Amino acid sequence: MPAPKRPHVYLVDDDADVRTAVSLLLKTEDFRVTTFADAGSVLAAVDETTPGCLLLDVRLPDMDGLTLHRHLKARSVAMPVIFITGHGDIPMAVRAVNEGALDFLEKPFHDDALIDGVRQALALDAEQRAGAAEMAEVEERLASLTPRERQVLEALLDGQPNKLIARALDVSVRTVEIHRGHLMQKMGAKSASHLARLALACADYRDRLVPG
Amino acid sequence: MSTAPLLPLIRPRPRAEASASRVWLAGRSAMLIALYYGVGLWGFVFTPDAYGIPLVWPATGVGLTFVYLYGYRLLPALGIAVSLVTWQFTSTMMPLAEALGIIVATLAGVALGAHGLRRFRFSPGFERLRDVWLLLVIGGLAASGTAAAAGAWGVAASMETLSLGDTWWLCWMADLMGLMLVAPVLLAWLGADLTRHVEQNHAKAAALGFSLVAIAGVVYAGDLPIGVAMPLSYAIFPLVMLAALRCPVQVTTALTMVAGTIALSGTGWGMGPFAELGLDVSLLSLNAQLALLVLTALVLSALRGEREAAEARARQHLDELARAGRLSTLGELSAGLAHELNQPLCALASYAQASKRLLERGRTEELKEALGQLNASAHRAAETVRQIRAFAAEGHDPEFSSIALPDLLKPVIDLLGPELRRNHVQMEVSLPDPPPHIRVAPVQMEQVLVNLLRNAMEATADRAGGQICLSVLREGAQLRLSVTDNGPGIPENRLPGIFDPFATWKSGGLGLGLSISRSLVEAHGGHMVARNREEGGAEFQFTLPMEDSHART
Repeated sequence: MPAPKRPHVYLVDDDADVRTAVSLLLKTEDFRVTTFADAGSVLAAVDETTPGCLLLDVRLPDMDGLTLHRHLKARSVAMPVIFITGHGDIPMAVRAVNEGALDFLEKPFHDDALIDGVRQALALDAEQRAGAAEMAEVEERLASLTPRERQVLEALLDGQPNKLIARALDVSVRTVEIHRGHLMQKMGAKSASHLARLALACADYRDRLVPG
Repeated sequence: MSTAPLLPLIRPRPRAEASASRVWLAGRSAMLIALYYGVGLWGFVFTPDAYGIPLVWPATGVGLTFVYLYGYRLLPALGIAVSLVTWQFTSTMMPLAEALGIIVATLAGVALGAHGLRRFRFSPGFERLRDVWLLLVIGGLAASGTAAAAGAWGVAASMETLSLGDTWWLCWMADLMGLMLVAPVLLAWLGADLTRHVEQNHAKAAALGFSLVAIAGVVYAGDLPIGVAMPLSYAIFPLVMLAALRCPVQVTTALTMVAGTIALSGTGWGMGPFAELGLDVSLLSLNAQLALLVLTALVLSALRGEREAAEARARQHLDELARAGRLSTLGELSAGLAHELNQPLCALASYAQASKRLLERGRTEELKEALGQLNASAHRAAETVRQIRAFAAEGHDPEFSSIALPDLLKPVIDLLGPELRRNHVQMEVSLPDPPPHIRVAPVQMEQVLVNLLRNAMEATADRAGGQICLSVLREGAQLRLSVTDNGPGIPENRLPGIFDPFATWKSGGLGLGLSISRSLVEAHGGHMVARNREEGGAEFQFTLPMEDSHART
């Protein structure tokens, strides 16, 4: 099934009545809702590119909701998850939230709690996706740098002035300035500090962040 | 309740109460004096010339019974009775001081005996063996011993025909025999609750009484040769034993008293097999026989009482266990039940909330549909509640009824259905054709089936292709019900004690389910076994008698 472009609420519950009722409620707020009766069909239907959020019942016929969440995370599905449960089990709620669930709602829930939760989850998903898109672009630009430009970037991130970089690379200061101009342009950086911020957000350079 | 009891509800004035109590005390006192005097009169018949003392003395037993039952406020009446008897029969040969000594010692002995009986919580119904021993030991040692000592001292002092020790011994024997003759019957009739006995068969009691009087009459008042009369005197034993096993203790003790009275009276007046030996020897050997008769009766009564009490306790225990098991099964089910109930509630709430929003937005067509779905959800929820109630229905006083097998199984399958589906376990049911009727307590049988099927389901729950099977086979006059699963089976080391209470190896269970199930099946006249199947998985089998052959015991 091709992932829908627009974010959906993925509702997973074994009870058909609950599925119909809750999706009707969500549709009154114009959410798009897709329902599943068991964990297996969810795993078959969503991947990391699917936008939206998950409403997961803790008790499912084939595996419990927490296990399903773990399986999803293992497949890099990072959609926010709200658990819904028929029996308020506090230890399980704590475990679910510790494992990264956004919220834990006890059935029967208040419409406002559900709708606010879903809205918050979708906003979070959108934000995460936007952040991830930006990150992907920076990574792409970083990959377009020549080896020499990378060396200059790394030296800059270490805080070395052009003169020292030139000496270290055994080139003229002028050459360093040319590399620096190219790499600023390729990275789309407006200033040295912007360049540093972009680079340090990437996985390759994250460890260069000096505490304090 | 009729209209009459309005008056008795009004509390009587204290004055009336006190005067009623005085009347009561006077009545009991008069009764005590009359009885004491009467048996004293009777007892003096058994006074061999050689000793000058009666060899049967039931008067002390009468005194002990009254003071034990009605308290020390009867001691004055007892004092009067003892004085009367002492004055009438011994005044000619005993100085006043010694007579007073006898009276005081008798009162002290009786008071001591009554105190001992109360102190050790003697119960006059003779439903426990300890009541028999208490009467013999406390009544015999404290009351009879003291009273006999007083009598012996008085008699020996005035007559000097026997040593003090011998006199005491004879007096004590007489007292003890008298006590065994009258105390049990008085205690049972005046102190024990006749209605507590289950079986009240007046015809049987009357027949026993008649046979006993006839035999005793023939033996002790007839003209039989001693070679016939002596062995025939033992015919009273089986009658009394039968009474002890079948009749209330009141009947048994009355029979022993009647038999004893006839035997003693006959012998005292020189009739019957014992009379030929001479009064002193005959009475002692008759006393021995009668003592054994009374002891047999009381011990058998007490043993029966203890057995009945144990049975009642066992029944109560079984009921409690069954109830506890129901609760624990409910507890185990409660997680499932919470889910079963919260699902429709969640749907209901969501439909209602959606309806409100649709109404606010004026989307009436969708609103109509949502309300229809809400209604359907509510009905489904009601059905779930009905099923839970049917299951949890009080099983305290199980009622047996004749039920067709499918009707018995339906609520069980309905109850487990959602859980089976949720656990992806297939259930197969095979019944004989035509389906038989059985006579069972349906609530209890449902519990047995739910226990076994849930166990089977849990054994297969997290396995692919989980399958459980309930099959019923007609096997002669009984049905064989079998619950099998294709799970991992029962660990071999668990198999021998699997029906013991608390023998669980699962988490979250109390381990009562199987124990209760087997008890319930056994209460239905069947039996239950567990085994591992060769092809894998566990099997629980139990039998139930079919209706036509079922007899409740």
